Amino acid sequence: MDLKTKKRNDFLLTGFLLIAAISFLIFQNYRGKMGSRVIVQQNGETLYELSLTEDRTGENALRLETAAGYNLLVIEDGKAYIKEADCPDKLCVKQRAISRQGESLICLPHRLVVAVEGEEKSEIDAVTY
Amino acid sequence: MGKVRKTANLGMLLAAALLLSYVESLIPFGFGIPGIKLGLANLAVLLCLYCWSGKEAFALNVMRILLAGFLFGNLYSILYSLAGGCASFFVMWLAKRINRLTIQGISVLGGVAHNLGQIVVAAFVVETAGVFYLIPYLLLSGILTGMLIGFVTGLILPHLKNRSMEVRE
Repeated sequence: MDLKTKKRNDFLLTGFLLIAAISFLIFQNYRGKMGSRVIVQQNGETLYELSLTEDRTGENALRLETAAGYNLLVIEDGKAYIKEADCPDKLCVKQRAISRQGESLICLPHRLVVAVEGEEKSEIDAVTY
Repeated sequence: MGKVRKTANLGMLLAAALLLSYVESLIPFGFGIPGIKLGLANLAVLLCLYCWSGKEAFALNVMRILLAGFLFGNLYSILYSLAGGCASFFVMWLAKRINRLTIQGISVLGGVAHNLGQIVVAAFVVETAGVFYLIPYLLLSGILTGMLIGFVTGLILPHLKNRSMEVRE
């Protein structure tokens, strides 16, 4: 196969992947309805379920102290984020605040997931992502 | 190429890969999303795939992941790197055999496969499908870093050719 065809294939492949990623992103951002509660899971086990409508800041922020480590979950203006953590990479702290259904905060070193869900329990909604 | 020469060259590539892993650990790149990396060390793996064969490139890949993991990471980071590294290697090796893409396209495929491999392992580790929500970000970063690494490797390859390394295209 000559170089020109290969280069065209490169271009097609990259374009296809780009379009796939961007449409996935748009789909996620527009489809996601505002969630009403967050579920805190570790190792797939649900530890807490909190309402997004009740602020939990300052003293009331949720301290998640487990064998794996410590994360501080804050709920403010219908959005949840992790304010502090003692994990090595601090990626969970850097993640954007979440409020839409299906969005999640992930702390891999602590195997912790904070996911937004809607009113009724809809396992399927969470899995499609 | 003589055996001694090959051993020396492969050792050099491994050292380069390890150094690139270290440099990468110093660069804050990731935007708060687990799994996103520049993939600098993939440069060495890609070079190896073009200069020797899949066998050497695979060995190089696994060795640099283990070494870098013990030096700069932890058990979990090794697990993620291995998943990403193996997925990326397999896809690139296959793409090179099929021979329908240039090094650019192969590198993009490798970058994307690396990120997807990592997220699958992450889903098992945290036992939640919630992590799949990150897929579009991982795709985008895989494409970008793959393009970058492919471009740089494409620049380096002709120089290796001049230095009597057997480059197979």
